Amino acid sequence: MSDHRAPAGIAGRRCLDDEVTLESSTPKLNPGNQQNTPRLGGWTCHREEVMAMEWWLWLIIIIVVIVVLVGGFLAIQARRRSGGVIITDPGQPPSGGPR
Amino acid sequence: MSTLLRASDLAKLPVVTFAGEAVGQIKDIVYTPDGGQISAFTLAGRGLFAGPLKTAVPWGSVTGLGPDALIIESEARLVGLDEIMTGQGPAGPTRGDVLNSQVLTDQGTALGTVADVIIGIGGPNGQADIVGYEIDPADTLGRGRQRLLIPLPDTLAASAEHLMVPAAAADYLTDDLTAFGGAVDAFRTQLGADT
Repeated sequence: MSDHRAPAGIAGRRCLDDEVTLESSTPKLNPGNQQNTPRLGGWTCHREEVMAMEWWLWLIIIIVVIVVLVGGFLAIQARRRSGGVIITDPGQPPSGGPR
Repeated sequence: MSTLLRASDLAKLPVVTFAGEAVGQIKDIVYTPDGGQISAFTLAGRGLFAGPLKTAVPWGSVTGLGPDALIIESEARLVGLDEIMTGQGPAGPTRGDVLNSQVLTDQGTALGTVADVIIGIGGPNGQADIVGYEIDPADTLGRGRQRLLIPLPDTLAASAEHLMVPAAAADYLTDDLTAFGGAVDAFRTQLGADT
């Protein structure tokens, strides 16, 4: 069974794969299970906090990316659609017009 | 004098056929310096996601131009944008956008930069002509920050960077569009008398 190194700050602590699995399932399904309590104070718990932080960070990042993309799109569209007054070299004189 | 409009008033006007179909909206106004006549309008699609169209409305296809729409007979009267931009159509190759170009007198005085273009519609031959520029005055002009209208002669000397006007045009600067028609007539009359 492979293991994962704990992040910095929990030096020397190693978590097994089944701990990681329990982190997401056991505390919610069986919160009173004392067998899992020590794991909650270890890397699993720490990993939960990291996951929560990442969730908010990802949300903020996604919102910022969406705002930037929408703003960029609108700016590009405004530029593409904006008009001007274009001068040309003299050519064949125009004819006709409103009747 | 014909009805005067700012070019910005025409931008984004819908282009509508006799059948009531909106084929786009005005994007650019294309004109020739020789006589300042409008030769065509380029188009953009309608709606937020639409971009520039590859077709244009030559002035000869315009049957009506009012404050709310430009009317053409049918979509078949549109021409390819290439014809307009490469000189194969009613005008020669394009030199660029005159907005934000510097206006210089023939004596080398900078009058300001072009903020808008004044168009006279419904002249004696049913043509639409560029009759003046609305400029952001240069500091050296000593006229403050308020935009001014400057009349143009019949034949314009212009590139996309510098627009040349006779020095006498500076005597007819005004900030009143309703009185500008008279200034254009007086200016052109003076030019005709001088030459």
